[in-house]
Amino acid sequence: MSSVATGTDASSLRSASSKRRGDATFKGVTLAAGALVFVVLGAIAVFLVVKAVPALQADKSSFWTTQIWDPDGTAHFGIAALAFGTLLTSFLALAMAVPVALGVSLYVTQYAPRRLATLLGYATDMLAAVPSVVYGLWGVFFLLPHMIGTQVFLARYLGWIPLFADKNNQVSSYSKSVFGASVVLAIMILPIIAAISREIFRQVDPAQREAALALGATRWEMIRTAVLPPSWPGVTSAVMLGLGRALGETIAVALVIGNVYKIDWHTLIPGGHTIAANIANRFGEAGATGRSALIASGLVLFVITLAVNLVARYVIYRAGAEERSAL
Amino acid sequence: MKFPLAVRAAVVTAVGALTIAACGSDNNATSNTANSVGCASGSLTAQGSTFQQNMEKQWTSDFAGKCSGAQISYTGTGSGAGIQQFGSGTIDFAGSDVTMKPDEQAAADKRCNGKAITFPITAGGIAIIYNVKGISSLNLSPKTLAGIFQGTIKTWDAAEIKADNPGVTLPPTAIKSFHRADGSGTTSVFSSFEAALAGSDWKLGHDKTLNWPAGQAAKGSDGVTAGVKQTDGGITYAEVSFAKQNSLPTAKVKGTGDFADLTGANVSQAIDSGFTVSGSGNDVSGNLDFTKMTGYPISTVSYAIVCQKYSDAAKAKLISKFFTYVVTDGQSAADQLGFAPLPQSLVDKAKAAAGSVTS
Repeated sequence: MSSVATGTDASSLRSASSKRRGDATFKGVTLAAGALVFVVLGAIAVFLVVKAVPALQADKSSFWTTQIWDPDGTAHFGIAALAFGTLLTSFLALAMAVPVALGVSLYVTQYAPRRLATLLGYATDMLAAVPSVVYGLWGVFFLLPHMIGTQVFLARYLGWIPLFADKNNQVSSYSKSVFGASVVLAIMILPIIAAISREIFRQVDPAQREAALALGATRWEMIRTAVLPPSWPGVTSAVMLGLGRALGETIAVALVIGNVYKIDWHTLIPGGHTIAANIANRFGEAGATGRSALIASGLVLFVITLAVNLVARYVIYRAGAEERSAL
Repeated sequence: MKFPLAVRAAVVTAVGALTIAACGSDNNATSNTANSVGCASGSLTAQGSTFQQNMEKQWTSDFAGKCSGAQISYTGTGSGAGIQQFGSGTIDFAGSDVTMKPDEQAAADKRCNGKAITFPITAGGIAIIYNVKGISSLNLSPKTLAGIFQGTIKTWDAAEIKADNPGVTLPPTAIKSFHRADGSGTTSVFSSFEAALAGSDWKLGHDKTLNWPAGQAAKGSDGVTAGVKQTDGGITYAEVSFAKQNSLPTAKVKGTGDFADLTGANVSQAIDSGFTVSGSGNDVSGNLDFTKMTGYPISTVSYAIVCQKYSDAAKAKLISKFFTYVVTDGQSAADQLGFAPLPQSLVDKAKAAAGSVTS
């Protein structure tokens, strides 16, 4: 309130002192906002650590390597399979979503007529507005039953890649799998990556594009030489945001994935689990140790996500100060 | 929380049926207590067992219809969450499929400034739901079920299944079992039954979650049933209402008696023969002995957990009246929703417990 009042004073009186007061107030407000981020992040970290310690002390097997989750019964539990599944589903989702997302945003910014571009932009953004539980239910009741053909196809023609190999003839029926979860995740992160990279591509200096075209470059050559190189740090950060969303997605994955605590590269057969999905599934009936153990797994997810963000920052930093300022 | 159309329709029908019952019918053994139940008003919030959730919705809406000004909201968050919330004092009563552990009882007693009491409010069977083309009737013994869910019996024409079903032609379809991914009282009851009756053939112990060596896991009873619905050769365990919603058949299961169907009468009989009260005074918590159960042998009770005394007199009265209604007139709603009425022996005890809640 006070800053608003000061602002009015400043515009009516134009006195130097109140202008300075306005400056100081505004600086204070922004500083507080900035500091709040650190306070919240710090508070989350402290909460997670404090609540996780009892479970880590009660764990009878190694928290980092065990592929079982039984904190309330035998007190054997570990993060290995969950962390593996979290990373595997997220990177598979990225592999599916990034090409499509970049294709959409390049088409929208470089090829499509204005009206179609606007429409396509809205349509992609709409995907982000669908609640994740709807994606999960859609995955369980529609996608999985209709994906059996795709599973069989992938296993037959790409089965030589361990990721798509069949095991004990399990691909030919309804399968709650890592692959299914990745497809759902890919659709969920698509709009984030597409929307941000669309804005990045729009930022490219039109003079550069026209220069490339004037030098006789085709449309594709122009994109390759004038649009992509200055955009790539921004696109990387878009991809990293998408990855962050995929790593932390909870209910959609909990519904679709196989909930098996085992490290397994076969993505098409029933199996797989993620940290966030495990928390969603096990929290309701967890005992004291169980809750603490789930929080410990949340701490690991927090660290993984933080690491991903730091890597993204580093990539952007490396790419140069000019592009950094554009972000 | 989820309330499929079929259940909603059933609820509407049941509400209608109850209204009619309240108006005149008196061939039900419990309806002669109708006048003594009485009303109270106020509002209560409760959480807990998802198993009893559909019953709670029915009861709370019926009770609100009977007694204007009574507003009771029950959310199915899981028995564990319900017990925890009750202990920390954020809800007025909890629903649970299991009795409290000593540390949970201590927390609940502390919250109540006295004693927290537990008593059964409904009974239900865990159905074995399957989807095998051409098979509409199936017998399964505890040992066969153990083999199916642990992955040692792999096809539907295995010798063990044939032995349970003499004269039935079974297909060589692969068995695809589905179990709960989330912690669940359903898993606890099913595994306790297996541990009691399959002997050394059952190696997974009994708990709300197990380390399954085979099969797929899905979230919630709707999740496992959806898996079975989509899979020829699929089988799972879930509340019988999910079998009805998906028009899937349920197996006859053998306990100490002969193979029995999951019916309200068979479940009530199982509880009558297999449930022993272990609590003292107004605490009607008890143990299930699956080896003693006649009737349908995978049967269980679901409890309410309340304080013996509430500092708020209106709240105490409402809880007392509501649960008196629940364990008497409310029992007739069980069958339509896939539950079973409590046997008379337990109704008497639960009614006494509900009536004892004071301020």
